[in-house]
Amino acid sequence: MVRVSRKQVAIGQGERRVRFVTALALLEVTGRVRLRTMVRLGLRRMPLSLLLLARQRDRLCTLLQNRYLHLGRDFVPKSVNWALFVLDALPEHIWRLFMRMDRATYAHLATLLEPHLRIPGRRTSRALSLDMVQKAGLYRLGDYGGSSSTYLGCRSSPPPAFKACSRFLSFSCAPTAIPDSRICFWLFSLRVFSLGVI
Amino acid sequence: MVIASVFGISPGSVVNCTKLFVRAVKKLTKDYIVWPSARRRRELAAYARETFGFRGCVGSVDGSQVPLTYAPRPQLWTFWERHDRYSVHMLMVCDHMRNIISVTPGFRGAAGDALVQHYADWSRARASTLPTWSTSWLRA
Repeated sequence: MVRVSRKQVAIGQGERRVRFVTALALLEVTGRVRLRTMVRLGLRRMPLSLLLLARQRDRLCTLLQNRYLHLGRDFVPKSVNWALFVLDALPEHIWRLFMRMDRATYAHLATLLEPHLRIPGRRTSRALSLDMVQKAGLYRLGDYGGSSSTYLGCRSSPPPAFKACSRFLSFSCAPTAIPDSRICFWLFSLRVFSLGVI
Repeated sequence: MVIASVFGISPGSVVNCTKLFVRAVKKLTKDYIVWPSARRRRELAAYARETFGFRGCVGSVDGSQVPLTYAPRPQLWTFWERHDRYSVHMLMVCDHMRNIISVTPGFRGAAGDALVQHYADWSRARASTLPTWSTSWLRA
């Protein structure tokens, strides 16, 4: 759980930086702002902001690709109201991962618990449904306190943003050939600039 | 927070839902986890005798650990167990049809199965709860 939230924070930061550097690169290309150029690497006409943009974009791509790699194979990315729209449509074996029992047992348990889950005097429209109470209870009991959640918190590995950054720098410091990622970047940046000009 | 966003409810509601669910399950305990009567014990012992060859066996007992995410504050060394984690101990007995007939919770992770079994209700009142030739089969 800790690692997921860290990655989400890093992705948010990466998106903001890419937006900022894109605006900076636009200003530099249109001549409004003058930063240093990459003279030392032999790229006289390449502005520094483009290099920063490429670096941030590479870093963000790696973050987005590796977002779920540390989780189990059956992990399903979850969104808001995931329980309402996705959980009931999941196949049986993935349902068991979250609810810790098969659907027939779940339905039987729901009939058994129904009289005990009702709170007298709380029958307003804002009250949660019994199905939601049971699902939230089972999900929480299965997720927290289990050895799997403890294991996720204990694992440590270097953050992928540093790996991506060092990889890109090793690319950019060798002025022999333009790597494929940089060609993609040029196409991407041309599209961004044309949109900006329009 | 994760569960709250997944279910689209507030974090406080998640806590309330869990408490409500646990309380409801606890209310079912006395109806479903029941030590068999004397007649039922004789039937179970006869079944075990015919099927497995054990005399006076009414069920199987085993201990299990429920791991804790965080270390507890008081006397935490008593929660540390052989799987290198903090946990609480639970001893369960089931009959030959895999119905759980007894649960002994409340012991800490460092306690062994034999110790918990010594303090279990069915073990303390062995004369009234088990057949004459009964033996506790503890699976390692």
